[in-house]
This record gives sequence, C-alpha cells and structure tokens, in this order.
Amino acid sequence: MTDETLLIEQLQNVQTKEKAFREIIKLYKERLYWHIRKIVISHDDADDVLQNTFIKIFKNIDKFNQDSKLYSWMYRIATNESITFINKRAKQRNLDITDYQQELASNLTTDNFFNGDEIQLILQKAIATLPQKQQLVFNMKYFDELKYEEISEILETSVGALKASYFHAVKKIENYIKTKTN
Amino acid sequence: MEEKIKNSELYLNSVLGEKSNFSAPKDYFNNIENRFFISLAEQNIPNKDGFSTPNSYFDSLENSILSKVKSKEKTIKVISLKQRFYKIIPAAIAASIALFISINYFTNKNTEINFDNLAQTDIENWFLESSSNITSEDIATFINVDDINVNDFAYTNIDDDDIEDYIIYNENTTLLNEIN
Repeated sequence: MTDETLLIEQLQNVQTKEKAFREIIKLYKERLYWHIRKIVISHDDADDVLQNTFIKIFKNIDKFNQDSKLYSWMYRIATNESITFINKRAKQRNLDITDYQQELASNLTTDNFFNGDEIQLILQKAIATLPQKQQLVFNMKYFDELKYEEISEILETSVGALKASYFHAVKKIENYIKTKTN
Repeated sequence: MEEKIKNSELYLNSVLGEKSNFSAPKDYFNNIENRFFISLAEQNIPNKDGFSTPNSYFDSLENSILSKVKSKEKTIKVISLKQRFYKIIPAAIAASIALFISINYFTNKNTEINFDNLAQTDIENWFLESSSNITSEDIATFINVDDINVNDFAYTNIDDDDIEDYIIYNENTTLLNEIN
C-alpha cells in the first residue's frame, strides 16, 4: 500500500481523519499556498482561499474516488477556489476580469508582502495580460516546476494543448518585458 | 595498418549493420524548435515572483485551519431540505383534512338553507342552467297574475337591436306570425 493510499484510507476513517488531515495540511500547505497566491496575488486573499480550500478538502474527502492522485485533486480544488474568488471580486468591483487582474498587479507596489524589483513587477503585469488558462499553465510550469503530465491531470487538459499554451504564454511575457524594459 | 582497420570496419558493419540502433521519442524533432525558443525566452524572464508572507505564517497554519474546520462542522449542520420536506408531507395532509372537516362542521352546523339567504347570483345561475327544464306553466304557477299589470312593460326600455337579435335568434316562429 502506497503512502498516498494509506493517507486516503486514514482520511476516510472517522477515527483517524483528523490526524491524517493534519498531515495533509503539513505536506501541502506551502505548495497550495503559493499556487493560490499567484492567482489571487494578495497574501490576505491567498490565506482566505487556502483555508477555504482545506475546508473543502476536509468536507469532500469521503467523496474522493481516487480517479486522480490526491495532490492533483487538491490542486484542482485550490485552482477552482482561487478562480471563483477572483471572478467574484471582479464582479463586486464591476470590473472585467483582465482589468481586475491588472489592478491587482499594479497594487503590488504598495503591498507589504511583495518584495519584487521592477522587473518582477513587470512580470506580474505581463502574466495578468494572459488568458486565464495560459496564466495557470505558465505559473505551474515556470514557478511550481510541475510536469506537463501533472498539470494535465490537474487542469484536465491534454499535454499537447498545455505545451501550446505554455509556448504562447512564454513568448507573450518575453515580448511584454522587452517592450517595457527597452 | 589501414588494411586492418578497413577489415575491422567491414566486419563490424556486417555484424551490427549501418544503423546506430538509437531511437528518439515520437515527435521529438517536430517540436525541437519550440523547445529551443521557449528556453531562450525563459532566460529573459525573472525566475522569482517576488511574493513573500508574514513571518512564521506557515508555522501555525495547521492549527488555524483545523480549528476553522471544527468550528464549521459545529455551526453548519446541513439538514437536507428534501428530507425535511418529505417529513412534513404526512403532517400537512393530516392538518389539511382536519381543517377541512372542522370548517365544514362548524360552518354548516347552525346554518339552515332557505330562499332568503341564497345569493341573487346563485339563483340566477341555477335558473339559467336549469331553464330548459322549466316550462312556462311552471313560471305561471309561481307568478301571481294579479301582481302584474300590462303597463309594467309599456315603458320598459328595450333597445331595438336587442329586439331584433331576439327575433333573429329565437326559433319560435309564432312571434313572426304574430307580427304579421
């Protein structure tokens, strides 16, 4: 029995659920946090979404049927929660999602938890110009260093389509940075 | 020496063939340009995102998440609306029957039906619906001729159009005969 299968079994058992869940948080808190943070941008929002993600994982672990790997399933929940969150915020502000994300990137100059330099700020603005799927693929491949096969399982998209998305994302970001720095 | 090398090469070729026996993954050469351009572009993109977190944010995360999960479990006890609805149905049926019986019982108990407490519209409706069974003799039985005077009808305001319609749609030919 693999570690993951054992963990799932413990999570689905009432008596061992809490202990196993603590283990899950310990194992995945940082990876999920950074994944969420790159989508919602602000730390406070990332903290809210991370908590909601774990609550959702806890509530739905009994329904997890092991069609995919546990971490892919959790990443998928985190992704959906983050996207729902920013869409909701954009709607509340009566803004188009691209405009809202541009605003988030611009606000980073006054964010206490952004230590990036000028070029890193430009990078965040460049990412904000990309379509949602390309943003996700770029962040997961470039920063999280996930394999295409892993991203494919999380986003339920073919490897070929992911490669094309990543290629376009990288080219667009490179062009954006070149335009802004020259 | 050269002759010996030539002989050895000929020997190896005869044994191994001219192919190297190495192979590349499928479509490897189809997207090699893309991979080259990607790695070239990646060199112009910063490899850090610049985000940070408050000090020791991750240290207390397990406890804060678990306490939130527990408090949610306590406060949100989800009761299925469907189940609750199904539970209510028998009670609702019983209450409706009881209400129906009691209304009928209490309202009809002290009320005797007589002609005076019938609504005018009810009488009219009954008359219209049952008029085919009522003969002019029946009417004559109830109406006292002494109470009616021919002048009662003399000044009755009846439109000419109404009279015309009556004559057209009434199949009673005797009326026409009377006019003649």
